[in-house]
Amino acid sequence: MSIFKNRIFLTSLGLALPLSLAACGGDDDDGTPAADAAQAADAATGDPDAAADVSVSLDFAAMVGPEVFACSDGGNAKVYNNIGTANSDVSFKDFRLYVSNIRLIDDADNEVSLTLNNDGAFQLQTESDGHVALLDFEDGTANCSETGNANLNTSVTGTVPPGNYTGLVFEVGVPFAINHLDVATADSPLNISALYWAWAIGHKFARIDYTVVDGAVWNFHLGSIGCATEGMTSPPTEECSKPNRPTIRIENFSHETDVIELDAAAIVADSDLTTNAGMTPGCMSFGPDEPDCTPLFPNLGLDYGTGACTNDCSGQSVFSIAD
Amino acid sequence: MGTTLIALGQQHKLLLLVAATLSVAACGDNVGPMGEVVDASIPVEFDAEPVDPNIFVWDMVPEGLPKPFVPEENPMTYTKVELGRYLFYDEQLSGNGTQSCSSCHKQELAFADGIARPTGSTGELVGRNSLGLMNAAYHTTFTWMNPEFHDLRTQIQVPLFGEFPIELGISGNDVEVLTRFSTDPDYIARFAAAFPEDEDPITFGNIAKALASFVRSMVSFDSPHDRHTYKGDTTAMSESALRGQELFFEERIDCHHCHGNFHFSLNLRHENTVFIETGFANNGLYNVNNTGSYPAPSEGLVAITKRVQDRGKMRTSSLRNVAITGPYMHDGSIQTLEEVIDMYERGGRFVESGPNFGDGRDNPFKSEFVHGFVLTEDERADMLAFLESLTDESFLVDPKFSNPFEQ
Repeated sequence: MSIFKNRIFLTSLGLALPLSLAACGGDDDDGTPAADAAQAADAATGDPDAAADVSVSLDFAAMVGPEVFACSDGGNAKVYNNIGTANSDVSFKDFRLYVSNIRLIDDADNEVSLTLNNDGAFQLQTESDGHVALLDFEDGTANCSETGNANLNTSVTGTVPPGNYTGLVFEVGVPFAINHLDVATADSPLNISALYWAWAIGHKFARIDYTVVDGAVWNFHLGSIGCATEGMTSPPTEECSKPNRPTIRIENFSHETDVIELDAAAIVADSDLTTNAGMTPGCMSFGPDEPDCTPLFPNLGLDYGTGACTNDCSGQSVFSIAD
Repeated sequence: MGTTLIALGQQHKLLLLVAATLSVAACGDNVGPMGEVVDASIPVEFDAEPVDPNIFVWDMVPEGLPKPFVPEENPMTYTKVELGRYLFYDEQLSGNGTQSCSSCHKQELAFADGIARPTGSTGELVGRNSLGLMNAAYHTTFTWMNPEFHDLRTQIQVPLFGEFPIELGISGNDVEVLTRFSTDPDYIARFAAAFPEDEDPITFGNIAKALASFVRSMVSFDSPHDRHTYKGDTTAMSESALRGQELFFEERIDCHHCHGNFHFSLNLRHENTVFIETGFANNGLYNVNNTGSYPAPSEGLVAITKRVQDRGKMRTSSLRNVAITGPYMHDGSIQTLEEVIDMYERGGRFVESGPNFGDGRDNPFKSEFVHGFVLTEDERADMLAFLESLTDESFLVDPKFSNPFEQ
């Protein structure tokens, strides 16, 4: 989409300009590339002895069981078989999720935060309120045309200090401090209407909408609930009673070679997609008792009753390293 | 000072001074549109503040809210907006000189027209209900069921030139219509001011650009809801309206899944939008013969996309000023807001007889968010009070959007 490309282009310009100015730097600059690099590293870390940060790209792939996810196949909605406890045939209407608090784990078990590249679109790195990236696997075709768009994003890019990293940990969701901003004024990717509920509940951390062939829509919308506010158009002042942010820990992970798969079939492995047990169509994280969510949440390591991880969410079955 | 300016001032005595500055701008090259030598260096005063007619200030957008998206090829200027206002209200902009844009878009009705479906300048019934135009510029796409109109300028070609049905009926009368403007000194000056780069500015392309600019300027943010939410006036909304607002955002009622942002429509695009969202949905209004169809000539998005699943899908329109933009739905087939709430409470409409027989509740392509609910009588009153709190009374009488020929 041309608008989108323009924005990226402008953002790149915005980044490039200060960098080149810095490179042209002060009079005491000896002008060698090495000195420039060292100076840039100083500026980034504030530590004159620090080695330059290294770039990291975390690659994700959306799966439905053994098959790669897609909205459409040859113009029609792509259909996947044997999904959920009723072995339903399903296609998809949406497939997007936010990830945040991304850390690499080094061989001494230290968790080191990834600093995201601010791209003005899919990734937002704030000064002090953390970061968030949107993984967007829907391309706006077929049934995904209703809420989706053409843009895709399957990776998260950023920088970390050099190290021997052997693991990855992140949360599915938007950090509390930036989850309840007004969608009208929030920075991308937090200003997408289809991924927003209202100030009080903030963003849909994940929006994965299943459509049973010849049947109904069954939505999975993950988000924080139990947020104390003065009204639906006011933000809460403290963390919601059920944050509903799964922490996903991936051991033996190489950011250079591994791809992280997330499996939409595994999310609803214990759900009957042909029935809607609760108030809303599917599991939409809403209400004190939502029978559609109770069996689903443990697949992400969460307990629906508390909105927190069970055993550090170690029982999650959705994310894994691709073979 | 150029003679054109004096003539303008006399012709439209109550024009805002901003408008009067048009002709000054027209004289940017020290030669007026009629070839007269003018002094372009005269400072222009508006409320003692100098106004540059070649810019546009979105002073009606509350601080903190994004401004509308403006396409690069048609930047906003006061001169263009003001030319667009004249054209909008001028019946000369129709083939037979009997209608203007304002025939079907009336300011006192937030630029809707209060009837189910309007009649074009030659007597043909138009396919769908006239949309209110407040905050039209915040929509991603324009009209009820076309996903391709991403620009007001493009969409405006339809009422101007459309033949099926004929609206303003300019096709076949192009030369005559354009001559009306190109022989009118007032318009010559206005076009020259609005399009100073163009040697021959009186074109249909520029007419569409000026109309798009005027419509884009129709920003409405002074409803009780806006004053409460964006301007810190905690007394602006009644207790009942505030309770209704809570209901509106509840999962039980689910209004907000399609109407949940400041624009009250998923079909939202503004200056900071990165990802385009369109928000078309089938709301269970029809289910003709239980095939999921909507009656002709308004079958929904399927008419363009040819996808069966797009039967009955219409643009989710903004709810601003909704209390005065009835009758409702794409075909104006629901008279009152109370009946609209009834329709959504039932989870779709049952057409009991006739050619459109069928139960919209069972429409296979209906949005899952139109699932029905039960409201108590108090809750129903609260919901209505909330929807009525979206009415911006000042917008309905704002002289910036009024008929310049009646001033």
